[in-house]
Amino acid sequence: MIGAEVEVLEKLPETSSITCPKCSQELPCHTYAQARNIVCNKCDRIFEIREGGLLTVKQFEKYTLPPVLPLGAKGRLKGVPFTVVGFIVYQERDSHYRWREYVLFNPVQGYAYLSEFNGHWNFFQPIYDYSHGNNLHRSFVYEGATFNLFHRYYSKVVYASGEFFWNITSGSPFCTEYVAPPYIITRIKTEKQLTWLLGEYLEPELIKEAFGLQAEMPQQIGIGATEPLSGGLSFGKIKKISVIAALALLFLHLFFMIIARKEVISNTEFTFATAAAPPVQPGPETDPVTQSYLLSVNTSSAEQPPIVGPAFKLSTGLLGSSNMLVSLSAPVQNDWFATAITLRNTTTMQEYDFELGVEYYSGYEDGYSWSEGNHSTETLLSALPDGEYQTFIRPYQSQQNVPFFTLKLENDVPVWSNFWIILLLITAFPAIQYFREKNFEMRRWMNSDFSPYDQ
Amino acid sequence: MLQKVGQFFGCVNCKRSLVFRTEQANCVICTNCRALNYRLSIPEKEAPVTEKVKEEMSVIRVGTTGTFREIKFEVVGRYQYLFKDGYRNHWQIVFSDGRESWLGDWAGNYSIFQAHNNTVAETFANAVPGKKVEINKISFELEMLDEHRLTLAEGEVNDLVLGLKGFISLFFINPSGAMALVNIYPQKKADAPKGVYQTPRIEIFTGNYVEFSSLNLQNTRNYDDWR
Repeated sequence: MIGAEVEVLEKLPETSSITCPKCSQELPCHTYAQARNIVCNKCDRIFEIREGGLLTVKQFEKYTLPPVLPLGAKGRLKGVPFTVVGFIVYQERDSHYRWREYVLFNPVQGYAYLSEFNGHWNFFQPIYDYSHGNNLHRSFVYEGATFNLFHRYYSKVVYASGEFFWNITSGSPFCTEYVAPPYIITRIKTEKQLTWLLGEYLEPELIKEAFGLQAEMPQQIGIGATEPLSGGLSFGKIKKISVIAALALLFLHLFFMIIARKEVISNTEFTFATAAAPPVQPGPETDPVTQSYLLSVNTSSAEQPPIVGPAFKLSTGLLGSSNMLVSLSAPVQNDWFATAITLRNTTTMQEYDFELGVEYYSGYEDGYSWSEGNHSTETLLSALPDGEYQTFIRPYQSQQNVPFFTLKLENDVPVWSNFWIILLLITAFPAIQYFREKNFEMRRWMNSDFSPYDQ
Repeated sequence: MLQKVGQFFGCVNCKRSLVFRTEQANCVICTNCRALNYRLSIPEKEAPVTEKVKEEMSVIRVGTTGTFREIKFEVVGRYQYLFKDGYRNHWQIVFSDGRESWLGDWAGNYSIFQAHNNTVAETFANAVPGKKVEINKISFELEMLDEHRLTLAEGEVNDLVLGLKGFISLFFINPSGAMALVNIYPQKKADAPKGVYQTPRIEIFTGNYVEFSSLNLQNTRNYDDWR
């Protein structure tokens, strides 16, 4: 019987039982003299346990939904073996919201609670290392996490079964919930007690596995008050990682900028001959890097063979290839100029063909000056293999009025585009996570009267 | 006859071998017949018998040993307080250096505490949960108040405690892990009008919550099914 005297000193006793004085149902009792209330699961009467026997407190209306965790079920949570000793259906006193709580018992560790609302589960244990007493706080920090006020309400018991170490029907406890997903701290205030419970969100599958349940778990509806955003790292963590990655990228890029040779291989000016200065012989006239070519006017024609431009040698060493920046500039005015360029590796005879063109137009219309285009352009050839190269140039122009153009070849130059692309990718992840998280949080806080987001 | 500390003697009623381990207790309850064996007793006079303690699934028992701050202790007795809304075990422990203290045990909470008497009763006037008070120069907050129903005991106890009934017990906590218990006993003069009480007598304990595992308890009741 409940409150039985200690009979066996050597070991803890097995589960006891008591007979319901109203319907004679045998009621299991795991907590012995700790129990203050016991509820008959047959006649739904709740009894207060007194020295003289059981005193009927009230009779609950039948609750049609069976508990997900049956009374007496054993399971290990957070490394502690618990037995389910009580089941309570709570309701907010001033609204229709209902949730279910399971009282878990371990004689050494005491009591813990599993709370289920809309298929979302929280595992609660009492804490004694935090309290802000009777003051109302909108937020506070506990164990490094900021807990924000989520909900306040009076609760009442609408149904219960099992045994309880407190009088579950006395009064309407005032509950205040603070969340820091996946954690929640609940302050429960009654006339006689101020209790703080720390809860943690648990996946239903974890509970199902812990208690060896066969039945389906309640379907999840909406977002739980403490439900963590699934799908990897939080925005805060991704932000930290991204900042570290961006700094690493910056340092890496600066390093490559410092070691980049930025070698000008060729800076060649090609001048088209005029009547005053007819061409003598196309070809280089000065040193191998800064060269000048004097071209026939007819050179700018598809029928003409390409100009044999400067030759150069690429020898980068370790990587066996390097980039090359090719820049074209020409003094075009309301005109365009283009040139096809071929780089031929004279060892492998592999050719790299590309075109560069510039155009520039300007005028004055309706009192406004306008211009578009540019006098210069450039292109980057990435990973050009080492070797000896010969350039071939075939210039094009429409009206033969571009007097000259300049072609500059630079080897092993720092490339900012790669830096910006990678930086964009690095910042994209936290940005996406931020918007995911914000959307998730807004949906979470839709259930709260204290949402930090505009409703 | 005066029983000395550490000196074995036979139970007045059943002759089971008993011993006093502390100076404070005025009697030891026989584990066999529940007889109150007083330190100062009249030979051959039958001893009164007490009620057995209730089963409340505590793993501690008289004879359990442990350590607190690296000093060994042994459990020699207990008071089992049953309240309107809960229960509490005060296990009397004796340290290897001779000091005596209390090991608190209720609903998975464990604490080591001592009696403390420097706080006036007015401190606890109008006590409501959440109220802050200073006890022994430590700020505490009232966690719970409860009404006493029954006190049971085993091992070495003071039988006067068993006679104290109907007190209010206050549970105090401090986030650092400190705890305090205050029992307030309403006292009424025999000739006082109805409802008129003297200043209540208070009993105060202060100490700290401790982790069960840190106590390294040995010779407990077997709880292998709950590990």
